[in-house]
Amino acid sequence: MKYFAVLFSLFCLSVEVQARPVSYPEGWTLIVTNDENTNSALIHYSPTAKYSIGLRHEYFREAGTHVDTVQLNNLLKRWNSGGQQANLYLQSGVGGVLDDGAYSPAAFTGIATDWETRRYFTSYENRFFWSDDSEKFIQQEARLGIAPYIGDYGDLHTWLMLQANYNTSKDDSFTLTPLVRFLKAGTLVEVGYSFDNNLHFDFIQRF
Amino acid sequence: MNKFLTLLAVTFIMTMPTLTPAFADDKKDDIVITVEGMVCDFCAQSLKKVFNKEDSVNDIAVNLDDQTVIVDTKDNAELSDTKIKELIEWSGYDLVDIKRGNS
Repeated sequence: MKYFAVLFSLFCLSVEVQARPVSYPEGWTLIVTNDENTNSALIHYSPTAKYSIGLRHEYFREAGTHVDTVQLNNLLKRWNSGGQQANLYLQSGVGGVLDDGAYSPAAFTGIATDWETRRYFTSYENRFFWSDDSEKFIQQEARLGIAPYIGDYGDLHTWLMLQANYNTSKDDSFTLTPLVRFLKAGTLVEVGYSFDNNLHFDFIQRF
Repeated sequence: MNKFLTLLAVTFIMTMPTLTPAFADDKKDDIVITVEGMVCDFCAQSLKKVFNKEDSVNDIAVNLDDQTVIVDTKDNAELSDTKIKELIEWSGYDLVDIKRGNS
């Protein structure tokens, strides 16, 4: 398991934070993400703990394009072991891009994986984005995190994290963002500020 | 004032035997389930949501430190080991152990 975590940490390099893109059976999740390139919102429903389906809207500020997709997240494999958990997901979406008043088809797919204990966290995910009209690109994101203290269920949990992003659609494609994660029950908030001076804000609510 | 204090003390003493066995009975009926893979509040919330949908469940507490789920069942309600295993796996986790009452 340790090698699994190290491997993905080394493989590093915006994919929105999904923090478990599949929820509990019959659970709804709202995910809002704002980073150096994108504003996005995803609401998804998990019929089982194995997959979720949702609607996603993204706005790419630099390009001025809006992307609307139906997104399917599949939990391909979960490893539960004592006080640790690892997951492998497939995330895919189909929909359209609104650019200069015209819609064109778009799709994306990618994998996401994470390994987590109550003290340490690491994750990696990628996304291959394709549209008929605008550019194609690959986004990658990796994270390392540590919890400075361990709380029990219902406490306010705090994580210190470092996120690395690589995006082939941008000139300055590599970004490092230190951030702080707060998690309490079904609510997660993340605030960060990247080394190239961009605010990062995520909000997740599980219902 | 003395009468009031006496009445208060008598009420307190008379209530104690009633409360204590009831509390003890509740604890005796609790089911303590050890679960693999619980690492955060999202995990705990998943298990709470799934177990609380069961008619036989009165309340559930999750202890991340011990990796346990403590289930309080309703009076005269049954929650079998098979059903518990099914609920844990349906939530996305693995069952390690089930302890009932004083076992």
